[in-house]
Formats: sequence, C-alpha cells, structure tokens
Amino acid sequence: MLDKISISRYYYGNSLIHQWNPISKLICSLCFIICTCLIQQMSVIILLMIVLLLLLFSSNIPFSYYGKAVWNFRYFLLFFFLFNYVCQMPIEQNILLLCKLILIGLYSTMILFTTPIGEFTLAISVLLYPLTWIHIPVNLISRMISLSISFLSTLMQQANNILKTLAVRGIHYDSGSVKQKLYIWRIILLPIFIGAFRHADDIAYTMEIRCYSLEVNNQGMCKISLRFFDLLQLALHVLIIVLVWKEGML
Amino acid sequence: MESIIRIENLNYYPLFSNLTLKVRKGSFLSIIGRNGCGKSMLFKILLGLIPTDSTIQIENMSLKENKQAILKHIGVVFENPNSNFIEETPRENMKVYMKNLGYAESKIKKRIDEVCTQFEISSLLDCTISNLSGGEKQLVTLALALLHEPSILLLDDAFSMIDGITKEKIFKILRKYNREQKLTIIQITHDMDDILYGKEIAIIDEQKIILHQKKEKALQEEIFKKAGLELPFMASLSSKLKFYDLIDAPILDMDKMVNTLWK
Amino acid sequence: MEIKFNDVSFTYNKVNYQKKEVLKNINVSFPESKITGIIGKSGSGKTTMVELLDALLLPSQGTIQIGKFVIQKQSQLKQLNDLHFQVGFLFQFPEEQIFNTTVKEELEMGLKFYHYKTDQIEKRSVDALKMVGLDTSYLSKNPFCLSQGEKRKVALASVLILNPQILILDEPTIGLDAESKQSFIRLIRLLKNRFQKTIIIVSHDTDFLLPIVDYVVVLHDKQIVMSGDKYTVFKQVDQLKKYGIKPPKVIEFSDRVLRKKGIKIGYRDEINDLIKDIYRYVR
Repeated sequence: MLDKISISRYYYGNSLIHQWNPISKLICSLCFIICTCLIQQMSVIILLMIVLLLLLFSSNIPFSYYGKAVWNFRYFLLFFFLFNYVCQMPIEQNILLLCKLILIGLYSTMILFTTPIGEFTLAISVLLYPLTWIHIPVNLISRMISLSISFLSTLMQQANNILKTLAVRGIHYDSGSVKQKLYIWRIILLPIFIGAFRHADDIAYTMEIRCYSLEVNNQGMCKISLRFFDLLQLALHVLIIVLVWKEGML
Repeated sequence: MESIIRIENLNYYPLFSNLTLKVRKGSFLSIIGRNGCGKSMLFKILLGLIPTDSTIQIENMSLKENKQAILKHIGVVFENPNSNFIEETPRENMKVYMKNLGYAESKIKKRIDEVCTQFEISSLLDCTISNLSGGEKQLVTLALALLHEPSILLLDDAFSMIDGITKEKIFKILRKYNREQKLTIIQITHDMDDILYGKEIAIIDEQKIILHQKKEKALQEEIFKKAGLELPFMASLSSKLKFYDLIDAPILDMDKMVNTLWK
Repeated sequence: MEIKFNDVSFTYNKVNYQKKEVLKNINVSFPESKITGIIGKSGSGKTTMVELLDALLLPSQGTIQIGKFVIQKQSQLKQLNDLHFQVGFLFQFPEEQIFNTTVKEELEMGLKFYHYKTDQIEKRSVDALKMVGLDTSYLSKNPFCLSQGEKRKVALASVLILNPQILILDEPTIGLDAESKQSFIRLIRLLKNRFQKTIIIVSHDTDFLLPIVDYVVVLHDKQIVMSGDKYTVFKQVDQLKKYGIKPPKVIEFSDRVLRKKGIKIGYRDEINDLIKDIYRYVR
C-alpha cells in the first residue's frame, strides 16, 4: 500500500553529491531548472540528460530508486501529456515538455535523496537571507519547510497504519470499487488529522525542550566550507546555462 | 537538604488540586498512578510547556522567569518515541541539540561518542529515524537526553518498548549516574517492577500526591490498591509471606528472600 | 482450522537501501482453540510474523496456511479478502486509530461496507460489546472520551464484530495500568473458554502472558528458537535471558529456589499459588 511511496527520503551516504555544499547545491539546481525551462531542442535535452546521469551516478544511490521516484509521478505526467494533447499542442513539443519535467524531477529527487533536512534548511535560510532586509521572517519559513518535509514521512507512516487497521476490519483499499475508495479517503481523514495535530503538538513541545530558537544562529551548524568540487559544480552549471542560452539565440 | 524541584499548591483543572511536590537533589523518584491521573501533564507543567499560576521552583530559580535557563539543566524523554525527533537521523538530532545549547564542535563529537558507546547505539546513529524500531528510538532518545550532562532527568514511560534484559542494563547505567553525579531522576512508569530500581515512590491519586516516601516504606498494599495499582512482585510476595508469618520484614531482593526463607 | 507456517522467510524490501531480513525459515503450527504467546526481544520479528498471518504482508518465501487459505508470495490480495473474517487483528496502540465519533458507528464500519442488514448489524454490535465486557450504553458514547482501557476494548470489539475464529493481539497491554491489565486478562480468558477462539498474543511482558497462555513460541534473530508448552519454555530461565527475554517472576523465583537450595517447589502461574507452595516447603 502506501509503504511504497518515497516522497522525502534521505539516504545516508558519503558520495561526492552527499558532501556537496548545500548552498552550492541549491544554486546549481536553480540553474539547472531555469536552464531546462529555456531549452527548445531535443538534442540539448539529451546533453543535459547525460550531465544528469553523471551526477546521479556519482551519488552512489541505485538507479532503481530514482526510477521508482519517477514512476510514482507517472499519473501526473500522464495527465500533463493528455492535457496538452487535448489542447492541441504539437506532439514534439509535448514530448519535449515531458522530458523537461522528468529531468527536473530527477534532479530534485537527487537533491532530496542526498541532503539531510538540516542542511536543506540552512541552505534555504542563507539564500533567502536578503529577504530579511525587507523584514520577511526567513528563518521561520525555512524551519517550516523542513518540518513539513519530515512531517510528511510521519504522516505517511500513520496513514499506512490506518489503512492496515481498516483492512483488518474488512475494508480493503486495494480491492475496492472507486466508490468504496472514495469512502475510504473520507473516513481516514479524521484519524489522520487528529494524528497530525497530536504530532504537531508533540514536536512543538520537543522543540521547546531542546531550546530550538528561531534566530539565525544556525551559521555554525554545518561546516559550510566551499570546496573545489562545489566551485566546479557552480561553474559547470553556469556554463550550461550560458551554452543553452547561446544555443537558443542562434 | 534543599529541594531541587519544588511545586507548591498546583491547581490545574481537572487534574490537580492543591498538589505539592518537593524533590531533593540526588533523588531517584518513581511517580505512579492510574491511567489518566495526570502524570504526563505534571511533567509538561514542570517543563513550563503548560503555563500555570502556581509557584514552581527548579534549582532555586522560578520557572516563570527563568524557563530558558532551567531547560538547559533538564533532559527529557517523552512517552511517544516518534515525538522526540526533529531532524532526520539520531546524529543530526544530537548535533543540533548541542549546538542550540552552545557547545563547541569538538565537545559535541566527544559527548556523542561517549554516550552512544555507553548505551551501545553507535550503529544506529546514522539511520533514518523512521527505520528504527520503537525500542531503538527510545534508547536513542535516552542518549539524547543525557548528552548535555543535565542535573535533572525526566522519563515519561521511556522504556515501554524496550525488553527486560536491555532495561536492566539501562537502569544500571542510570543508577550509576544517580549515585556518582547526583543526577536527579524522575520516572513515570506503568511497570511496577521498574519502580524498584528507584529510591523513592510518589503516587498521584484524587488530584494530589497521596504518598511520597522511600520505596521500602511506600510499598503498602492498601494505598496501592486504592490508587488502582498493584504492588511490584517482590513487594507483593513479601506482604503475603509476612501475613503468613514466614518473614518478619519486607524483602525486595530475590536472592535475599530465598536465603531468608530457607536458612 | 490449521494454522501453519511452512518454511516462511520475509525480507523488507524497503525503499531505502538495505534489504532487511526479518524472518528466516519459520516453521511453526499454532494449536486451535488455545492461547499462544509469541515472545522475543524488541525487533526480533514478532510483529512481522503476526502481520504475515493476517496477510498484511506477503512472505518472500514459503507459505502460510490458515484453514482453507494459503498465503504466499504471489497471492492476490483480492482472493484473501475473506481472510479478515477469519483472522482478527488488534494493533498496538489502537487508541490512535479511531474513525468515528460514536462507538456505534465505529463498530459498524466493517459490516456496513459489506452491506449487511441493519438489524443484523445491531445485533452483532451488541454481541461484540458483550464479548469485551462493555454494556450497550457505550454505543452512544464518544470513543475519544473513553479511558485508555475502554478505547482498547472498543477497538477489540470492532474486530470481534466480524466474528473471526482466530484473534491476534499485538502487545495488548502496553501502556495500560494494573486495573485495565487485569480486565484484559479476564477478557482474553473469556474469549478462549466461552467462545473457543484461537488466540495469538505478541508481548514482551511475560508476567502478563504466564497466567493465560497455553503454548509459547520464542523468536530470536529471525528464527524460532524455542517452542512448547508454557512451563517447558518459561522454566528455561537462563536460555530466555540469553535471548533477551525476562522470564516471568513467579517462575524465576521457583528457579532461584531450585538453584540455590536444591528444592523443587514447582512452577506456578500466580503469586497466590506460589505462596502456598512456599508455605508447604518451608514448614
């Protein structure tokens, strides 16, 4: 059942990608995404795919996990494809769009798989720091983002337990009709909401006990060292953007 | 001796009415009572998570005014193993906690290694929390609570999923901390045999603390029964054997009991 | 109805790196209309074993036979739908899975899903409540407002309403106080004696299991290392400790007497019987 969904999983490892500075990672992923959006030709997609595959390979995580992540979004991709088809978008453009989505999906999955929540929060809070000049509570936002991500996996586990409880009372999700599936979605809302609120309360207590504060004193938390690899990646990504832009201009 | 924790005339509807509790430094107190009598709530009030008007003093500081400072001296293990973690892995949780308290990087690494070797959980440090079993989570949380060398340790049903043999080892370590470093430990538990590892017992019933004594004196059948509890095995055995005139005084150690019965 | 594990192995194919082998070559048979306890260190695979019994998980290898149902790796969950009417399962902390705001709706959920008639549903609700020792006034109560022990009983009633012949309880007494525990012990005995149900209990609380089980299975390091009638298993105090299990104190006391004084005072279930034996052997 829901066991198989992998939304926010961090896989421990010591690969180059794992040790990649999170700020550099985020900037590079932004570059990659912007770049992907700018592409107009299939050949460039293939070039980017090769770069991506190299990165995925150096993350030391089996390709099957990346495959599974994409497979989980197949309905979304299918919906997108059909929607564009109905809107009479030319088939090549449609496929190009699909490939772009897959590229972006894989890249973000790689980031999710290799970045612990702590580093993620730190990177986001550093990158958004300029917003504090206009009085936007950046630390609050980044803490909320990281907590939401960890909440998701707890909620998934709870939902899975709830579905199991229903199964032993004779209510099976997998073998029900569409109407029955909708009924199940309706009835699991109550325990899931209650569980979520309880968990939120507990997490709030724990954060108070562990003296979590919202001030930006997180600077010392991770060893933010800029290594050769990080600079190389930044350079590489900027280079790619420039290339793609030039290509587009030609 | 001065009390390290002092709660005076706590009123919290509907759980507590005029509750008073004074805990001396170096105590190893077990708080027991039937389900729903408010034990976990007492901890939350003690930690300042639930505001009340009553006077609560911890380490001679008033809770209302010095909450942040007081929290730095307390280690807590909550009941639900899943609610004790914010970060992804045990190591991350430990690092962030110590950082929040202002420790230096080198000291953090040293303490993590020390505590994890003691509790034998070094292999679990880098696993994702959701992949750990309930018992493993509870062990990690205990290690987390002791990292910053607190002067008070609060355990709320902290060992419910840990098996008996591992629990014995843990209590041995905790008693050592209690003896040598005068760590004040307060545990809430439903397992009546766990209370024998402690030194004092307090029972919550009818919105108050009806008993707070050294365990040898506190193990009285009538009071336990009234509070909806049963005596630990050895205490119950002693009480019944005393009734049949087979022993004179309660004996809590099994070997001693055997030797006394069959001289 | 035969309940049998035939060379069952189970590996978690979790979407996170390592495959985790949880059970290896399990062969065991559970006696009908008796209470069997499954004990083992935390993480030894107890919960996985019973989840396999109710087809909440499928074995990676081997087959599980429950009466006419056979569960194996390739089983279709659709075909095993009816299994839940034969095997009831009470999870750990069932208080966290309440779906409705009245006990009546909570109990009726399963039967309503299968379009049972209203009068049948009502009758079965009342019977289920009676089985767990709650009276009909509970039907209109809000399950969220009940005490922990009562919540668990309502959860058990929601499983019993399907009238399963086999009942699996996963750590039923965890977090319960003494009164509720005693109440649960009486309840389980009633289910076995009056309703002849086959009951399988997973617990690490051997003191709770001792007075009620007939047969014990010990799991350690993915395999079954001991099985047999309760005294045969529980009296092997040293072996149990080696497997990380604390033996029941009543038995441990008798064992201590045997070791230190060479006197065999016999193994008992409850402290009162133990006292009688001690009295006899001391005088």
